[in-house]
Amino acid sequence: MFSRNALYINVIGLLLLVSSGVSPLAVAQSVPAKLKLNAELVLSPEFCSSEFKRGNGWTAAKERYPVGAKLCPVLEAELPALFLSMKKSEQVPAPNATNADVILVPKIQDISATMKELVVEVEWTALDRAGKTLWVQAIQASGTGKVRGLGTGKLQRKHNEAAIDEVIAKSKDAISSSPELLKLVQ
Amino acid sequence: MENPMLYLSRTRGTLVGARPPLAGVMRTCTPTEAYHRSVNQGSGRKPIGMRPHCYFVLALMALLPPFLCAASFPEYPAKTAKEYPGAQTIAGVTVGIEPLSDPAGQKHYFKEDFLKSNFLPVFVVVENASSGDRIIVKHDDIGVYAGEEKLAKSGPVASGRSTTGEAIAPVVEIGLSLPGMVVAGFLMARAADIRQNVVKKELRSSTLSPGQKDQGFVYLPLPKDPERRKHLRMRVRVMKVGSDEPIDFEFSL
Repeated sequence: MFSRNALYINVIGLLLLVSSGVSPLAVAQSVPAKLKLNAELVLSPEFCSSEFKRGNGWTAAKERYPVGAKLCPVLEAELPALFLSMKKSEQVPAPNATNADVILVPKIQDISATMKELVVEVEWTALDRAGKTLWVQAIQASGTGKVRGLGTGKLQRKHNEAAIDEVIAKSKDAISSSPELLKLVQ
Repeated sequence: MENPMLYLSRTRGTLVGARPPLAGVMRTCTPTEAYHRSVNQGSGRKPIGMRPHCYFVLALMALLPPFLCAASFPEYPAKTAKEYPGAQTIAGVTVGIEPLSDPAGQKHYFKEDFLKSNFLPVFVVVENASSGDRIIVKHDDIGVYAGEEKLAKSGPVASGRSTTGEAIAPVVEIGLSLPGMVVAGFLMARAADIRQNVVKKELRSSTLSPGQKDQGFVYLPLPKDPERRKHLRMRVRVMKVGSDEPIDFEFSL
């Protein structure tokens, strides 16, 4: 009897795992190769202060998702691993005014939140030294998750963190696999 | 009512392989205990917290809501670019558009009537069928204009002025390719879910290799004057990587 119950529980666990979107056979992710380029990352004050706010705290719950403030330090810490060197600036340099091979400009296109999910859309533009557009790619990341007990703030933080993790992972993947940047290396 | 699992753990030490001490002894017990005792008395089975089929019912309950949610905003059926009426091909790049002007269709896919907010959702498909060129599709380079004025050959249509300085009659200041944020601003008061659906269905900027395509909605602002709406034109601009010359596709709406 117990072995039958164990079978039921295993089947249910598998069903829940599949429904949650997690592959039972997790595949190890490969580490992206370093691009032999000197890069400049443009983190403008507007980008770093992007946030989504909703509600007044009286008739509707007050919600605040400071996506830009959370994203900027993480991008600054994570992206240098993809390049030979990376410097940060606050605005796009004038044509031929930088010694970087590629200039990366992120822009938050949209942020949208429900009680279940936070969706962040970031558009990446890569420019060459002369200011010509080499590559454009928008990525959409979503943060979901549940928290125990009550607490909208905790839920917002969890969604925020999850969305930012996904933005970083997708950005790294998109940048390191861009044919234009790979071509620039050669 | 006592928790069945508590009952199980409390009694496990004494009742494994044995029947509950019912016979000849009258004592008070909880309804759960009575249920388990009555069930197990005849069969001699060990009491368990929940019947197996209950697990399946709970699992089904856990699985159902995502399916229901997914059904609430259906995906827009996309076709290849050439299948849309009036599709255009220039230098191996094909662009097809489909305005979703029918309020019933808008309600179906967005749960929203955009025309009330003076916006028109247009589904855009861009396919790169060129031999070797990569093209850049930027969401911000898709716009709408109205009237008899000539379209600026380059530069943002919203400015109403071409790069050569030639004045373009500013028939409308309807701006262009406003991100879904603006549209969704109108909708936000109604529901966050609707807004999120608007954002998710939006066309995203991308760089397309030969054989790739990009598709999604753009939400075009409409002039309030009905006369101007009759002469609306839409422009989709793409750029070849490494080239300064844009490729413009113009459509009547």
